[in-house]
Amino acid sequence: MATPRNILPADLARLLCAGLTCSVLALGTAYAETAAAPQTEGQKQAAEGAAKLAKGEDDEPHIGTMPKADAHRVYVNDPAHFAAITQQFIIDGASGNVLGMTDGGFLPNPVISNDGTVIAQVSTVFERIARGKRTDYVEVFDTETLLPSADIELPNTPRFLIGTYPQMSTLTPDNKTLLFYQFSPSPAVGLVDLANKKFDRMIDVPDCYEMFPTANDTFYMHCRDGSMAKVEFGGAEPKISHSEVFHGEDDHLINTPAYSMKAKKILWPTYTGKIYPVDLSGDQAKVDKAIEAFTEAERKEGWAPGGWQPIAFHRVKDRIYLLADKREEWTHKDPSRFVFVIDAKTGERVKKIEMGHEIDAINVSQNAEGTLLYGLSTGDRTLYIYDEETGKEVRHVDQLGRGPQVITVSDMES
Amino acid sequence: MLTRRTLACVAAAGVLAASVVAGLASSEKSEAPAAADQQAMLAALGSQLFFDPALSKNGTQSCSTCHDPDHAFVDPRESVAGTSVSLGDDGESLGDRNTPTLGYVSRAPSFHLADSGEYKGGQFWDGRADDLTAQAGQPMLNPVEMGMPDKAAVVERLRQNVAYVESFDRIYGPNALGDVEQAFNHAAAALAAYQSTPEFSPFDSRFDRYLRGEEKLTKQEEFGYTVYLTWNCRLCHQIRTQGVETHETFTNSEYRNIGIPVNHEVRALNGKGDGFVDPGLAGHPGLDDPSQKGKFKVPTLRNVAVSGPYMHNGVFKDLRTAVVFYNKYTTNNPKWQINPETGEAWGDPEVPENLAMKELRSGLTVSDERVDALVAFLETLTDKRYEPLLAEQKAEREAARLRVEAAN
Repeated sequence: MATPRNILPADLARLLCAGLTCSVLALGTAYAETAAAPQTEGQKQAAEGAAKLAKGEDDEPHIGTMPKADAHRVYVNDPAHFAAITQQFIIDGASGNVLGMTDGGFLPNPVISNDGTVIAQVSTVFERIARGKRTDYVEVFDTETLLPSADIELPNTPRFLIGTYPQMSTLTPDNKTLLFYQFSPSPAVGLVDLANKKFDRMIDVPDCYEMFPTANDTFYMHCRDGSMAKVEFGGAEPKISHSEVFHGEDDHLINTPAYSMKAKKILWPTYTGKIYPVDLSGDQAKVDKAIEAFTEAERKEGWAPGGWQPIAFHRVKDRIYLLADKREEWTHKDPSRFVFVIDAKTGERVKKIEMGHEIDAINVSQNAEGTLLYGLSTGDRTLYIYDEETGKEVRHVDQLGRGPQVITVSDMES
Repeated sequence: MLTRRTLACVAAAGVLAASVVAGLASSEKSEAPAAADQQAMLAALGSQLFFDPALSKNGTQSCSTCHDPDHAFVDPRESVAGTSVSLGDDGESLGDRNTPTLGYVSRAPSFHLADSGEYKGGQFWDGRADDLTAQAGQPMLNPVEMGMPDKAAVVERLRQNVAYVESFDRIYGPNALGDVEQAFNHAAAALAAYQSTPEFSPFDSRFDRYLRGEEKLTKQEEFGYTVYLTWNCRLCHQIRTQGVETHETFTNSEYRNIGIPVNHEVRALNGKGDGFVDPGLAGHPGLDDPSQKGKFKVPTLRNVAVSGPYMHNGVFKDLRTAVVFYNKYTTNNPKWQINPETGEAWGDPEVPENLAMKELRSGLTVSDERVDALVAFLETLTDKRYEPLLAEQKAEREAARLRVEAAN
């Protein structure tokens, strides 16, 4: 965790609070910088603190609480380059303030509900830091205090330990069931009953990966054979059916597609910038005509997607954001410096935003007005925040752990 | 080693061909062709012996009867025990272990304790023969195999054949069949020489052609190769732990207990009964080591697709079953605890100790798609001459599948 550059008297109370194992680190607000505002958060709080002192007001140390989540709430997860202990930063994208943090174990999967009422993670700890008895568990946090409101142990350490793919853990629309993926010994999906705070069961699935819930008892997966599988788990035995195969064997789909559960739509790019819109609103997954993000000429120039989380989708605006750069083949995990904005309906390019930084992950706030585009740089350990309309960088939040990679937002728009 | 030993015999007998003499006089370099000639003569003699039923008691079977060259040097004969084990010369006796292929066996090192701490090399499923020469004589004298009463009887049979007398004399010098012990050993050496010829190890499978860039593998075969190389298969079925081996035999020649169940059918028929326990490597002469009990030599996977049934006791008929068996150790799905050939549980290991759990418990189940891919890959390890056999097998399998489909 970073230390404020200038610790001012008014912040001492907050520092003290932080020392008392508060999960909400209000002090984080002290160092976030706002490019547009003349006064930084730190300066503002210094002025407030000085004014209180001048008035002779006592400062009562307390444990802070989280404000209610809004559309600009953004979560940055730091897998910390496979460190045994990790962190998640809860940020107000509008101000660029860090509002709070949660601690995690090894490669946890953050799970945030669309209405912002569930902050959870599927995590792993060992009794001796990185060795000894392993415990997998689901932890749910109170959204106001960030205190754990549920701690549910997962039997037989079933988690898939992998670089964080957002869709390897997810929630059903009613937020009552958490799904997590198991790779070993064979593909399976674990169901966790959040409502009753208990592990439910594992469902055996075919050779398929990632989960995209569409209903409280239904999710889809992407299978090795190039089809989508529909898994209905409401009955005693899961019902599994497959779509047509929709991509060729040499058409490589990335690990981190964008999924809008409200739109029941996946935007799934390939290594070359073809984007498959996968429509999950019907009886079975249906793949619409693929969108080519780049012209033939651009592809020849080397334009291709790249990064950790290189695609985002704005549901209301029906826009796709693709992080890309000119690159060599097989450098698809390297950061990129541009975001291509594409109309999902027409497949036409709306604009190209120069990010000005080496960006690894992007996402967008889902509000229709004042939409923010987030660009996370793993190397800079900084979240750069842009005005989606103008493409201008408006603020940034730095010192976000050791290797932050994953941005999560909620889709609160109706 | 074999070559050196053979050469020593040749030199001692003083029957060096003219070219060898000339070679010795000038340089070592020109010795090679002569050595090759000697080896070729020995191999030719071995070839005669290999196919000669006179080396069995009743004259009904030769090496080639059980190690049929048209069937990847395994035994295609159906008996009451199916093809799990072979029938001896007496027409009644059944072995207790499956007749392995002789393809690529010459590539195995002599029996020794390897740096890995594991025993390595040798011949037979339990490695009880140090090398091919040591192995070759044993079936002739085994009462449940070729059944000759003793070495003298074998040598007597050789003496009765003028062609043998001539060949032995040409290679080993006058009266080469005079001394029983020596003559018997020479016969074994000839059989070993024959098994060391490219006829047994041609390295001309589709996989070899693929490695040489002459052919492409199908996507499924390639996937199978990838699975094979990344799953636990390669921990035992590869000569080297790392690096490149151009003449891969798909075995590290070590010994492992993978927990194969008893072949009850065979045991009931061959009289050993269910009380008998095959000690595996622990039965190797001079190796009184309980930690080797139940271990068997990792077989070559070359020609595996055409040399079923599988495992040391021939307990699995189908290659797919042999692959699926390994899922027993990794799965939490009851489906994989069932032997698809019997519809019942795999059965307890014959020897529950010394299981190779470090390798077997990989933590990953091989999915049906991967099993199919592995089988497709293993089929590419079939020597060119057996490819028609493979095609025939595949056609039969396909026909059977269609029959089942039609019936449903």
